Amino acid sequence: MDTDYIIRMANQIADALGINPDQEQAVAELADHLTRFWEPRMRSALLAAAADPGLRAQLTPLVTLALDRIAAVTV
Amino acid sequence: MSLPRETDYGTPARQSEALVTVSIDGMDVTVPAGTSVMRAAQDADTAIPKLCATDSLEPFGSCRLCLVEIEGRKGYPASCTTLVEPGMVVHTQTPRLAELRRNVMELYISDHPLDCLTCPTNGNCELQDMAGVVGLREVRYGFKGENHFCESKKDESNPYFSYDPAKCIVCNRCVRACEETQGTFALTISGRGFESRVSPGQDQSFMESECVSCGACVNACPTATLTEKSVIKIGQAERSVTTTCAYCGVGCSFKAEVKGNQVVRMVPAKDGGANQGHACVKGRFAWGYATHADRITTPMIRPSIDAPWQKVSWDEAVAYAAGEFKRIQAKYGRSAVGGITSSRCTNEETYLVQKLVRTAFGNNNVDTCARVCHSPTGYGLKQTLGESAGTQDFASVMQSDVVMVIGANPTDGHPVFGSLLKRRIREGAKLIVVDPRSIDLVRTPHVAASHHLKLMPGTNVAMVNALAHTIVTEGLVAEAYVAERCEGPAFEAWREFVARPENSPEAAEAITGVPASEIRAAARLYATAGNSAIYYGLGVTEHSQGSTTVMGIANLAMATGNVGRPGVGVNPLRGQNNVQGSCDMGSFPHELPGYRHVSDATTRALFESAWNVSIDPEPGLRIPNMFEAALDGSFKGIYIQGEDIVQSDPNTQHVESAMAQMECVVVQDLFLNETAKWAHVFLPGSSFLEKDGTFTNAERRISRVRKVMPPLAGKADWEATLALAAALGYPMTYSHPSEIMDEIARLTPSFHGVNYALLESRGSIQWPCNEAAPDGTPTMHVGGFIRGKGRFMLTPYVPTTEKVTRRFPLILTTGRILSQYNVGAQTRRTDNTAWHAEDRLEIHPVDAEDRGIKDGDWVGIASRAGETVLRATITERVQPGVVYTTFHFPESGANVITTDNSDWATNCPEYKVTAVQVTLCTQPSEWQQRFERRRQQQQGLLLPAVSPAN
Repeated sequence: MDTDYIIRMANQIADALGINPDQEQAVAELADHLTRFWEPRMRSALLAAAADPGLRAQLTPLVTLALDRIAAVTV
Repeated sequence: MSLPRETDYGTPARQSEALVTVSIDGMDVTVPAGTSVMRAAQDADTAIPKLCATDSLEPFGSCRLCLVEIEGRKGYPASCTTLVEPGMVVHTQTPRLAELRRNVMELYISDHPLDCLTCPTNGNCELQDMAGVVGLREVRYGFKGENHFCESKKDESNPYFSYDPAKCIVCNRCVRACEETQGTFALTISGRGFESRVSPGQDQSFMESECVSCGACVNACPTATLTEKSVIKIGQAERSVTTTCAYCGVGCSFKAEVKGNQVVRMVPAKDGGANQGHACVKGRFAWGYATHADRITTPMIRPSIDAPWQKVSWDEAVAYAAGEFKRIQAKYGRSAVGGITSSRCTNEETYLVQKLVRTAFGNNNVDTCARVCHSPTGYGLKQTLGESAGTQDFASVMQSDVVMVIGANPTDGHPVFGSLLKRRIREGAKLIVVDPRSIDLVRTPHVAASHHLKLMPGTNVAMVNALAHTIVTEGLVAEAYVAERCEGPAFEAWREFVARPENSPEAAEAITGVPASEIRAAARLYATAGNSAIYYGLGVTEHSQGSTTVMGIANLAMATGNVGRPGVGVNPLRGQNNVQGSCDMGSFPHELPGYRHVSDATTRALFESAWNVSIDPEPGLRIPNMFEAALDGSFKGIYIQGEDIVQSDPNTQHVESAMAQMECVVVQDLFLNETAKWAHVFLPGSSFLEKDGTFTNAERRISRVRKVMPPLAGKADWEATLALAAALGYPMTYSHPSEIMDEIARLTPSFHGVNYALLESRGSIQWPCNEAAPDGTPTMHVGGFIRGKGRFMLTPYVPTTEKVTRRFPLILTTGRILSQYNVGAQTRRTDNTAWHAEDRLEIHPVDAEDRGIKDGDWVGIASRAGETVLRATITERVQPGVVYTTFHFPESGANVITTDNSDWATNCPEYKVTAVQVTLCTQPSEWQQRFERRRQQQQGLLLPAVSPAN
C-alpha cells in the first residue's frame, strides 16, 4: 500500500472525527473506524508508517493515539 | 390481433372522504366526491365513448363524444367535465345521444384518412374504436372538401416517433400530457379553427423544440398521429411482459410489448409504483442496445491483455477463470482476489457475486459501484437515522410544502421523479435549489426556485452548517420532536457546534459565495413551511466530505421534525437502477446483506450456517483500495460483473496502471467495455430483457424484472455466476432467481416477508417488509428512528485539499445529462446520440473570453492527474471559475482529469471538485491519442477471435 495514500486517508478521517469535544471518544471512534472499514493490509501499512519516526510525524496526533489503541487491543 | 388494453377511466381518480351516490343507466354507483360522471360510469363498467379524455390527464371537454343526459338538466353535458352530485340520475345511452355521437364522429372522420388497413395503429386506435362504438356507417359530407389529408408533411425528426398531422384530431391530449405529465410545455396548438394543429415549440420540428422525448405525448395520442417508429416498422405486438427499467434509480415499471422475441415498444405501466404511467427518453425508447451488433455473446479467454481473444465454450471460460483465481490465491494468498457486483444487475445476481467472494474466494474483497456514488449515503444515514436508505416513497413529494434539492439534477438524472416534483411545484410548493450550476429546475416553464443557493463546488458542508446555524439561532428547532425522538446529549453538542460564529451564514458567504441573506431566507423557509423534504444526489456524496454532508442533511431534517411522515424526509436520488439493491445485498466489503457488519459474530454465524463456510470477520478492500493493492502487488485477480471501472472511476491513468498489474481480470458484460480491454476472461452478460430477478429503486421499492427474451449468450448473469462458483469448488444450487430471493429473505430481517408470490400479487413492495411490516414500508422512521433515537452528528467543514492555484485556477465539476446514462455503454448504442453525441466542457463566457475560447472550440483541460481535450460550450449555466463536463463517452477522458481525492469515511471519489486549467488547443491529449491506439489494438484482438472448433 502506498504510504502517502494511507497517511492522507487516516489524517482525513481524523479531521472529520476530531471535532468531538470529548477527545477520548474521538480517539475511540477513529480506532473503531479504522478497524471496521479498513482492510487489514491497510491497517498494517498505517501501523508500519506509525512505527517509522519520519512517517509518524506526518500523522495527526489523533491518528497516532488511535493506532496506539488498536495496537494495544491487537497485542 | 392486438394486445388487450388497460381500462381507461377517462379522468383521474379523486381522493375524498365524502362519498357520492349517483344512478347511471339505472345502476347506483358510489364514488368519492369530485369524481367525474365519466369515471363513475366506468366504475360501474359502463364505458362512455370518449376521445379527448384519458385518466392520466385532467378533463378537457373538447371532443363532445362523451355527452350524457342528466335528469333535470338541460342539454347534453360532457361526462368528463361534469362532476357527480348526490342523487344525480345519468343516462349514457339514449337514441338522441347515439345520434349526436354519430354526428360528432362523422365530422371527425370527414377529415381523417381512411387508410385503416395500412395504418400502423390499426387495431390499437381509439378513433377507430369509437367509430365502431357509435355505429358510424357513412360520412355524408364526402372527402372532397377542405381537409388535412395531404397538406401537412410528417415530422420524422425525432428518432423514436413520427408525427403525422394528417391524422391529428386536435384532441389536445398530447399537449396536455406534455404539460401535466412531463411538465415541459413543449407542445401547443397553433392556429385557430380549421388551422388548429399540434405544434412543437413555435412551428418547429420535434427535435428543434424543447421536447425531451419522454413519450408522454405518444402514449396519450388516441390516433396514429404520434406513433413509435418501432411500431410503424414492426407492427403491433402480440404479447406484453411487465418488467422494470434498467436505467436510473427511479425504477420505472414498463410493459415490454413483444412480437416473438423482438421488443416492439416499451410502454410505461399505469400502475407502476414508481412511475405511475410516465417514462423518460431512456426507458421509453433507448432499449435497442440490448440487441446491438456490438453485443458479445460468446465467452472468450486470452493469456495476456495484448493477446488475441479466443472464443471458447462457457465451460472452458469458467474453468480457465477458476483455475487462474485458484493459482493466484495459492501463490499470493487468499486475499489476492476479489469481486465487484453490478448495480445494473438484479438483486439476486449481486447477492450471488458477494456470496461467491465470501465463500469461494473466502474473503470480503467485494465492492460495488455505490462506492463511487452513494456510499456516503449508506454511511451517513446509518450513523444518524439508523438505516442506509432514503426515508420516503416518490409519491410523498406530492404532500411536501417545501422541497430542497441539493446537488441533484432530477430533470436530467431522475426525469420521471423530476416531472412529479415539477408538478408539485406548479401546485404551489416552494423550491430551494442548492447547486453550483443553474440546473433546469431553477427556472423552467411554470417552475421557479424560491432560492437558488449557487455555491462553489466543495462547500456543501459550510452551506448545510449555515442553514443549521440559522435554524438553531433563530429558534426554529422543532424542540418537542427532538426531545422525544433524538439523543439529547448529541443534539445539545450539535446545537452548540452549529451556533458557533464560524458556522453562521455570514461566515459561509465567504466560503460558498452565496449571500448570507439568501442562506438565512432558505433556512427559514425550510424550517417553517410545514412539510419540508430534502432530495439530494451525487453533488452531495462525491466530495471529500460527502459523508459529512449526508449527516448534515439528516441533522437538518431531524432538527426541524421533518422525518417520519409523508411529505418530508431525507431522500437520496440513487444513480443506477439497482444501486440501492446492490448495497442491500451485501456488496460492501464490510457488510453482509442487510447492512450487518462482518465483525458481528451472530450475523456471521447465521450466514456461515446457511453457506457452510467460515466467513472472514475482517472487512475487505474497497474498489480504490483494490487499485492500491494491485499496484503494491498484493491484489492480482478480480471478477467484475457489469461495471466499467476503467471508464467510471477517477484518475484513469492510475486505474489503468493498477489493471495492468492484474493477472486475471474476469469481465462479465454486454459489450467489450473499457475494463474488458484489460481483461483475460470475458463472460457475456445478459441485458435486463433476458432474465428474471428484482431491482430495488431509490425509494426501497423492490420490483420484478421479467424475462422478455432468452439470453443471447445462453446464460443469464446469475447462471454465469453459478457456473463460476461451481468451477471454483463451491456449487450453488438454484433453479430460478426466486429461490435466491427466498434465501435472501431467510437471512435478512428487512426482507423476511419478500418473495416472488408477494411481488406477483402486489406488483412491487418497499422494504422493510417483514413480520412487523407485512405490507412494506413506504415511509420509514414513523414514530421513532430505526436506530432508536436519532443521532445528531457534528459536521465540521474541512476544505478539500483540491484547491485552485495559479496553475489550475478553475474548478471542474462533472455530472450527467438526460439522454445519456452513466458510462454510456447502453445509451451510446441507441439513437439517444441524436441529443448528445459527445461530451463537452461548459465554461462561463467570462472565463472563455479570458482564454480566447469561442463556442465549439477544442480546449485542453489539465489537472494534476492528467489532461484531456473536449469542445467548449459557452454558457451561463456555470458560474465564473467553474467548468463542467459529462463522462458518457470513453474517448472524452473526463476521468483522466479527476483525482484520487475521496470521501473521508467511504473513499467515494471527489468527482465534483478538480482544480483545472483550460486552454485552447488543436489536437487530442496524449492520453486520448494513446486511448485511440489502444482501442484499435483491442478491436484488432477481438475481430479475429475464433473458436478452436472453427
